[in-house]
Amino acid sequence: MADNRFISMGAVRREDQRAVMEEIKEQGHCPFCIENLEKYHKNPILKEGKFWLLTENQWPYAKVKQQLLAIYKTHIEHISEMDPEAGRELVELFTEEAKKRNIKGGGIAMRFGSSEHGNYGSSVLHIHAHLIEPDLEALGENEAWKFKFGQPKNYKKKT
Amino acid sequence: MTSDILKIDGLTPHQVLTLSRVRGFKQYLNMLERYQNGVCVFCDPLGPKNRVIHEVAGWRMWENPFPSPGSELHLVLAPVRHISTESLPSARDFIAVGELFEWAKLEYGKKRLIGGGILMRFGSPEYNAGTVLHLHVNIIIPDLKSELRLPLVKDPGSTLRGYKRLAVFEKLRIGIHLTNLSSEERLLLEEDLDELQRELEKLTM
Repeated sequence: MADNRFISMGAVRREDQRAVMEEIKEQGHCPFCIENLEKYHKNPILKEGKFWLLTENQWPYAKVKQQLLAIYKTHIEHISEMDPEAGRELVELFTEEAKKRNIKGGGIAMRFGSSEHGNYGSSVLHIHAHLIEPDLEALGENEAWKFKFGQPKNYKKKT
Repeated sequence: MTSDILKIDGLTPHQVLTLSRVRGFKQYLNMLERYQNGVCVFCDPLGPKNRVIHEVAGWRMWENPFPSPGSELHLVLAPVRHISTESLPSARDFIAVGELFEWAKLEYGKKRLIGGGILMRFGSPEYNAGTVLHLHVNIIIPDLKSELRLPLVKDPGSTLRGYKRLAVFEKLRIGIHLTNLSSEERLLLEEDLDELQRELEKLTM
């Protein structure tokens, strides 16, 4: 099967996501580049800035109330390639939308880069950021909600 | 919610919640004193362990002296003036962040900043597992030797344990002797009792 350097199949979490990611892998596309986005991302673009497109995650994490996704408009994979003004615009886009949705709290998170020694948690390497409001009511009595930032190569979670 | 479990005079429920998440008695005393003086641990004067490596336009950056387990490098970026995390951040407060990133890029090089993540918590600390209510951005470079996940919600069991431990810290602070704690209360302390005793002696001096 073809290799696709734009994605990391090891970070795929859901079966419905896997099917689309398999196709992306086969096509050799970056699913977040503008020319491919419409083909793979079915949620509407809520807002477009100079640097970012704001939308909702197509495959939200489990036990979140809201999950916004901001996709960088050009193909970069590392924060060192980001325009210094882009961070400010990202906060502006996220906070405007969070206000509208009365989001009570959470985190803004972004992953970047790649390594042969493991992965940093991204299924798509094209820079993107998440705004997450966890769903406290959905969590079990001894359950925390954590955002993954890294794992070794061939890592298998203990069950 | 659990923030109603324990009240400390002069402190907001969110401040009490953050105290329930401290690593130990010493940090508890430090944070409490600061709250009572109307400042927090990221306000001036910054604690001696947080050694600023760069400052620009009202923001500063330091290496976290208590990095997240599994990280090779953990940088903290925060404004000098207190901006609360309890409300949504304002984009105009982020003018300097890009410049700090640029500086870090040159200082550490792409090889050390090969990959990782950025996390900024906002809003109610019940929704973000924050310990510091002062706006800040974390840049984390995992070592990729173990899984690295950062919490946005602590599990209710550990939150409850944190409140119970905080109640014990409060007892000690107001002068109840270690030997007068119940065995259950002593178990909650989870720290070196000799070190704790030394802190208590400093309190009474």
